Amino acid sequence: MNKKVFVLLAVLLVLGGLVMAAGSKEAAPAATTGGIGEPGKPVTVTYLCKDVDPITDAEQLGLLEKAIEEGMAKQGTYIDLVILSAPTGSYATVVPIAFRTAQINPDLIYFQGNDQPLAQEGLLEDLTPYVEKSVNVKAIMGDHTKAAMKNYPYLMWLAPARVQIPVMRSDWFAKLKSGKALLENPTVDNYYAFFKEIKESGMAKWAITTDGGILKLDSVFNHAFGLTATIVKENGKWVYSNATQASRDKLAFYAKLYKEGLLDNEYVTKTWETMEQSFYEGSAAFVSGTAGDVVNVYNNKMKETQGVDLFVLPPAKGVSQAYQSIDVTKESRGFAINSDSKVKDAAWALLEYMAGPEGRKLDKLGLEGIHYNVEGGKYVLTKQFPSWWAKFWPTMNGLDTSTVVGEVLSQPAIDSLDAAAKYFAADTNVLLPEDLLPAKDAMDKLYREYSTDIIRGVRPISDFDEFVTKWNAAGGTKISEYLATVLK
Amino acid sequence: MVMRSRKRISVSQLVLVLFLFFVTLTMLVPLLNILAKSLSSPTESVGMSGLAILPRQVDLLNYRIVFSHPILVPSLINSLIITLVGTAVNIVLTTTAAYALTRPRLALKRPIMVFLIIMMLFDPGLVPEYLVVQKLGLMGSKWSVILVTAVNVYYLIIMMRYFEKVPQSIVEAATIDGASHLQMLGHIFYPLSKAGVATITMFYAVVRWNEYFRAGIYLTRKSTDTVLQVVLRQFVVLGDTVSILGQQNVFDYNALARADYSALKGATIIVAIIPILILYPFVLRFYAKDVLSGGIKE
Amino acid sequence: MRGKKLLREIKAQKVLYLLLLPTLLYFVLFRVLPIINMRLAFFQFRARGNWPFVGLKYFEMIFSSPAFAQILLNTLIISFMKYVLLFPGFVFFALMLNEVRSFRFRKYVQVVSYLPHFLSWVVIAGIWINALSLGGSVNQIVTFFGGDAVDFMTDRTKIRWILMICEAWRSLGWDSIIFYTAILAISPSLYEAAQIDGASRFQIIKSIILPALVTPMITMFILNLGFFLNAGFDQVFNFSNQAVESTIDILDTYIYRIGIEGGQYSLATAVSLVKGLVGVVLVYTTHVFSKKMTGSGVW
Repeated sequence: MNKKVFVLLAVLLVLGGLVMAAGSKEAAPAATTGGIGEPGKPVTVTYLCKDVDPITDAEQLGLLEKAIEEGMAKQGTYIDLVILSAPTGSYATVVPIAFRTAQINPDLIYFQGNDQPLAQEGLLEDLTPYVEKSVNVKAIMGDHTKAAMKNYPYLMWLAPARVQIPVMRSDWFAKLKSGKALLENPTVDNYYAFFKEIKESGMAKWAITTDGGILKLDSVFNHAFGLTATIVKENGKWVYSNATQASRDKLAFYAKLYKEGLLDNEYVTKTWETMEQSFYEGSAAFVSGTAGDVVNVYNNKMKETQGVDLFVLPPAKGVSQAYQSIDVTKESRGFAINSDSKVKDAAWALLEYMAGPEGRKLDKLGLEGIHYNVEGGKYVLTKQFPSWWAKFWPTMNGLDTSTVVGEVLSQPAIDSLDAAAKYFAADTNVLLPEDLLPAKDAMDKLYREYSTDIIRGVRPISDFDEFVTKWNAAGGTKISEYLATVLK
Repeated sequence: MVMRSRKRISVSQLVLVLFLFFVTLTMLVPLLNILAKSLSSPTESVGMSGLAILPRQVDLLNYRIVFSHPILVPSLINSLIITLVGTAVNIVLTTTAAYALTRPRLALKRPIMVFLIIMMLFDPGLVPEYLVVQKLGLMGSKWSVILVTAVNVYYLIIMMRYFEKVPQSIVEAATIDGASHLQMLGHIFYPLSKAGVATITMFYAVVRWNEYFRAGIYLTRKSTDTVLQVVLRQFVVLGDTVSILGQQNVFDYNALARADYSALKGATIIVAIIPILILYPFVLRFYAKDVLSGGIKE
Repeated sequence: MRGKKLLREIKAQKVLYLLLLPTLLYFVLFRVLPIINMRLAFFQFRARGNWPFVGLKYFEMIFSSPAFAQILLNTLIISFMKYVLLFPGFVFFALMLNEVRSFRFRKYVQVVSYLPHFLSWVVIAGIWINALSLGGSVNQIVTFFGGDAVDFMTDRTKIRWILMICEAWRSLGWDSIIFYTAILAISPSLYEAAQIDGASRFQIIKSIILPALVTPMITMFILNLGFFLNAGFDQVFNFSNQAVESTIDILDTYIYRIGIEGGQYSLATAVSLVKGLVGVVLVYTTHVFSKKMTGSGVW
């Protein structure tokens, strides 16, 4: 009898052991810093990002890898960071393809477009539980980031909200008489007079320039014309603001700017490189750049080529006043963790580290001896510093600038961040379901086509009505019905 | 019989010659212009007109930049490998199939021909092909690009026509002598259809060398896995200067970033064209020979 | 029994079938299997797990979308411009070539005009995007004659003509060979007879040369119709940009964009299926027609 009980217990024990072993494989991700890898047996974490190429930049990236690994080891986490080289092609096109065809399988990937289909197929990890248990990341997350992660928890981008801030050379701005009036009361008319003065004074060939599209201009003028969000209520119905009367008025204004030579007549073919080139070389006076990092870059380069700083301009005032509304349905770019990764915890630990004080220093200040030197307990930025950019996140949160000698961010860049915060507006937008995406894609193309034609004078503004009809036929009406069910 | 004793040049003849000359200019000038710009020093090439055909201040700088590009040389090698191996695969498959299909007593000839024609007509499209490549585990391997276009039915038919011209008497004689099929293929058909084999070899080779589309999807594992035409496309069609100069240089806006992009693009194009220019005379010799030497008939 | 006899024949010609095997294997793997995969058009693609059956959902999406209608229209218009409007040009070129008296000059024209055909569209796009830019050679000529410089590549009213002209630039020489060969094949006795009759050059062209070209003209024309839905993917793909996309987006570029770039496998396969089926019908019909009228077809 006892023997039987003994055998029974033994069997139960073995079974129980098996069940536990099986169960533990599906345990929830543990909150981590530390406990990953061992000295001498680090966990390999692969990283892929745009414009971070170990083939062309082997030396500096090698140093960065080492610095990160050593920093993390000090905290008890042992990883072997491997920065991968992206496949050849346009990043936004080729990386999602390469990823989906399993030709690349990095643990940590940066996306800048075309990630939504991947998330819908379950190829990207839901980061919510990781964020929940995190310390550093949570601490430096902005409100807009928190909102975006709630809607679309697959991409994380710790950066100030992406707003295009208009800037121009401070010396030119000082010379313009209409500048003062503009600052006091930045109405659309005052802006118009301002642009006219730029052109008539002959200081630049074009008053304004932009790279291929009107997004940068929209940041200045949308709110003034009443385009307060991506989706607005017109006549009691929820519609995309692209097809509203306010949009028509705005396009008519842009067309006027183009016709009178105030808006660069070659803007359609300009890329970000050629747009910047014309700005630094002085053929265009007024551009917009993302608050923070990009304005910083513009400022540094303008200082290099022309020796002057930039001046930040306010958004136009009208129906309301704000820069472009901040869309939090989904980050347009950011880092994702591969849902097939075997080292998700280690990958997250890397992100946690980079969000902490040590990591922020590495990310923003660069490499010791190259981009900064340690002198008297402070970090003195070198002449090489402007050539460094963060390989993880642009945010300044979490970086203790009191110990830094030199400008991590130039004053105009800081001004741009302040301006963005001052003239902030939240956007109304939704993530469309898979079925409606092709229709929306067609509608967007239609808008781009008509808006470019109207602005360039190829079509008269009266063609806008034709656009609205086609817009509705292409899916505008159908999607409006969907919007009515989702938005209250 | 030719009546050309009087060398009078009629007005119509003059107009004709001028017009055709103009047409050839539209083909030559862009190529020569690109060559000239690419061989000029950057300070000179910026101001060069689009119609100039001589280089100013010969400088190999652009070619040095192109060949020192860390991805260009590997992509060139990949293109060469794919072209050589791919063309070899093409020729072996096409000639063996053409040979078999031109044997008069082949039992299933009719149904096989029908099958091949249907294959030529019906294009399953990109996504289904892509799914098969994925299933076969060829993603990322050069074999994906090589095998997916292993046989072109149109060229197969051309080859068959050449093989059909081989005199039956020779074939019969060889059969009586006890020649195996492979021996016949090698000793009789290849030599007698040299022009045909050479022709489709050239055709296949050119197609292989110009491949960019499938490579852009199937060869995206590493940046150095790609082929030359993809790099070329990135730079000269999409205008992505970062791809040829590197992000750091563009970000720094340094001297390299202020190079004359159009001359640099020209150099890249020339590098991509060179194998075509090498193959071209052979095409003329084998395929177009009759057309080129076609007489003046009155 | 036929079957048994067949098997015996196959066994006897073992070697031949072995020679055929690699080729047939290629077609099975890379054509038949993909064709079977086309059933995806009736299912919703899932990266993992089974594909749920959705019937004609994607076909409905296609046929009710105005975007698709535009793309189909683009495809037809561009094909029309390339294969119908341009068509006389090839015949004309062959005729002109034949009229050239100087053997060396003609050879020069041939050697130069055949070359562009072998350049990849990537190269050709690279060359022409540069030449058509605001500072490029074409605009230089335009301004020389007093016109205003035009940004051709972003001009929706001009881009289709540019596609057509660049297609001509590439193919004028090579694609006219078939006509030139036909001219060369004309029997000299016909010319002699015409000479005796005192015919003018123009009459010779009209009554001797053109009739000889009728057969290849009809053949080529009908065959081009068969491939009407293709419209030249490689060219459009490399010449396209955001500004003009809506005017030159054709079926194949649309399939690539939504299928490979956009990840909408099922929708793209549905479009491919429609295009493939219509294509087969077109090619087969035109082949039969051509064979009936001129004795030669696609195969």
